[in-house]
Amino acid sequence: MKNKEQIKVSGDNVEKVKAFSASIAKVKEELAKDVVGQKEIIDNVLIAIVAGGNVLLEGVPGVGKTRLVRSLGKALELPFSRIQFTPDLMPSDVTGTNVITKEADGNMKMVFNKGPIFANLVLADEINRATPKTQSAMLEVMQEHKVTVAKQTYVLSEPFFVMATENPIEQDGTYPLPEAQMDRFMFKLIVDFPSIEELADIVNMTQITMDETATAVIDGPTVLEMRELAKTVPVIGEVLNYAVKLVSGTHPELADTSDTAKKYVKYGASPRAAQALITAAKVRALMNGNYNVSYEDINALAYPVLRHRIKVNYNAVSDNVTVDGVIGMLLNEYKKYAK
Amino acid sequence: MTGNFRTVKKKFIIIAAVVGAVAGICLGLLATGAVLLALKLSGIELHWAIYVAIGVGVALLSGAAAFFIALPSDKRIAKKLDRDFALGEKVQTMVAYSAAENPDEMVLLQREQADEALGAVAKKRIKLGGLWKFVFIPVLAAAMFVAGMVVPLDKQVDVGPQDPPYDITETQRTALLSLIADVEGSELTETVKTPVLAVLNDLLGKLETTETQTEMKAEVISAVKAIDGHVSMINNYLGVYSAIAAEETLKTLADAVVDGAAFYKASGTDIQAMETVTQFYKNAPQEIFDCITVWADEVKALYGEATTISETGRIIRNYANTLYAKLITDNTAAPDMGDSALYDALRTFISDMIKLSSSSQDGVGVAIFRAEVDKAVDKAVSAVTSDLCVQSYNCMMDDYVRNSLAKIFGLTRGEIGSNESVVPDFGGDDDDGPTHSGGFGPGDVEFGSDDLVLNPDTLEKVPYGQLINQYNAAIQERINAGDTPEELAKYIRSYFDKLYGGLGEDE
Repeated sequence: MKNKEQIKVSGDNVEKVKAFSASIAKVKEELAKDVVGQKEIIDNVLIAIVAGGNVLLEGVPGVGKTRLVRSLGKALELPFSRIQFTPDLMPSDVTGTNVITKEADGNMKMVFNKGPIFANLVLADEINRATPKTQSAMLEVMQEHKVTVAKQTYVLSEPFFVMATENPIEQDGTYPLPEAQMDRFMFKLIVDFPSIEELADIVNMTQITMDETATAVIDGPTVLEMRELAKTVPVIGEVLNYAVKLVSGTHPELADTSDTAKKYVKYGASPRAAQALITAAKVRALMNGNYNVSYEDINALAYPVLRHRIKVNYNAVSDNVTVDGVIGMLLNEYKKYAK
Repeated sequence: MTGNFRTVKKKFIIIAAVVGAVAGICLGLLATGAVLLALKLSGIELHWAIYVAIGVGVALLSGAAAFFIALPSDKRIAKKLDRDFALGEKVQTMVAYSAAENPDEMVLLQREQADEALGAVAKKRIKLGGLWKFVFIPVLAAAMFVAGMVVPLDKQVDVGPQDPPYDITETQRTALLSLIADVEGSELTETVKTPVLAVLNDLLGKLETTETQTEMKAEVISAVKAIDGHVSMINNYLGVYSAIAAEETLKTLADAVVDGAAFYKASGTDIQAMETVTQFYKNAPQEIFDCITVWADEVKALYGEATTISETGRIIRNYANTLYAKLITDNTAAPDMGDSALYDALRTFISDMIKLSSSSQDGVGVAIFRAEVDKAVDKAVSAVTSDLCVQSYNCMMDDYVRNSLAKIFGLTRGEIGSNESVVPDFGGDDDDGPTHSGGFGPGDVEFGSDDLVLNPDTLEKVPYGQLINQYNAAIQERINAGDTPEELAKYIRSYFDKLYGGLGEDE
């Protein structure tokens, strides 16, 4: 379900606000049962879900991406589906299609078979392996939260969250997402290979059972309430301006841009980045038990928000400067504004 | 605003007040010290209350300004608190949303959370970073104030004329009375003696009530001018000179008249004592006679080469006519017959010359005629000499009275002015006049006055008497300017009085 009403924090909601971080803590606790480490990934995924965004995950196979989303589905009591993208996957394989069925009375009628997209939590695995057509169909659903098949529109239930993955290893025969499509993801998260200790924990845990053991602690409507509550978190003008300055500082063509952008950036982040920064920062603040957005919230979210929205130039390549490196330089250059 | 924020804000207000007070005191000291130093170096001294007023005024104004500058706004306070205590912009958010109308629960919760965070901060000390940069201000202020207090007043600077009070001293009163007695006992004729005495007595009366040095000087100078006027009204030898000096043939007579009347000037002696007048007057007949004789010789030489009576008569007639024309006809100031002995003597000379030139001289030889003319000339010499003795005496007494008044009341020659309306100033190096060896003159032998001493200003050897006059005038000027303490001034006046033969105050 999609709750379109803006819930104004009323006296009845004070307890819910105060319980926000406690609820998130409980979810994390449940996820920790199934997912070892990856604390930052879990935090950002939860932020994205509450903020109403989608996440692009980049990591080698076997680091727990599917397990994370499945456990998340259990903890949030939300239906989960996984779509493995392959080059032969068709758009209808994602959205669903009409099929002719015979009813009991012998009449034939068209019945819409919902595709795997019809879930609250969707894992779009190796999305860069699908054709651009299938990718665009997927991304359109991510944007609109509805599916139109044979002129019939089907609204997806809220909260709707997509976690797409990209395999950084097998790039042959893939269709990299264009920048315009990448922009639709709120975050891009890099999943690192677990540490030795974490790997040992994973092995020990999965020797007992491979199934997810997380239990439901909050539900979908609660997530929607939390989303509305997060929107009311106040942010002062200085912090807002800082976020805006960061985003505009990624554009080398602007007059008052950063030196970093002039040197290493080819294309900067879109205005969606600024929206994503503030929206996500509000959720993060609330998750940490704060009732206002701080510079620290913006700085913490700069990497996941900006890394897939900035394209570096040849200078960066020749100097061996990564996108994250550019973001780090930008934060350093602009830290004087975060005081 | 929340209670904890107000508590923290009070600390900032206190800090701002302290900054304002310190800044005010520093700037007050700086301003006072700067004004004090500047005025002292300029030789100006003001009442201490003025400096206090300046210091307090500057301190109050600058202190108030510094307070309001140092007092931060709520926004600045919030920013500082968030930064110094890592509060994650809680306080800034609270301040930014403090004016929100109908704040929702999130804002209220945020405010509550910020206030709770401030509760811990309220007990901590506020960081005062950056104030060390202003430590030079108190140091500079203290240094300037101390400098202003310690630097002495520069008294060498001319602060302009001052008008110290005046009270006639006993010495001055006594000296003036002595001068009046000298004039009374002098050989001046009543015509001039009476008005001069009146001026001097009037001066004594006025000086008893005169209150300032300026007034005193003005009275003395006025008296001197009045006496000059009376003497120049009686003396008319300068009038004779003016009437006839332009005529070439009469130049010698004109010079002889002036040289005779002012014979004593040729010595360069300043008449400072009655004895000097007496001495000069004793020598006057001879001295003046010598001067007039120069003219007589020239006149005699004019007709001395004539070989006939008629020629002689023509010469003397021409001379007499010329003299008459210039002295009487063309001279609007010529007095009537009987009003001036000098004019009468010259009129008689003219008349004698005319009579002689027109009288019949049958059977008389040129030599005898010439002898008659010589007698007339000699008669004129005697008559002119006689009158010039009187006029010369008037000039000498005028000099004496002027110099005495200047000495008694410490006026300089410049302040007294010249009396060239009475007697021209020939100076000491006049070649026409007789030379003297310097000092007070014959008869005035005191303290080796004829000795030559080195004048340190001109490096010339000058008579001691001339140098001592300069020293006396200079010291009187400094005393009157108020530079010398009164006790010391008394001794200095007494010293010079003794040098000039006056009475000291302790006698």
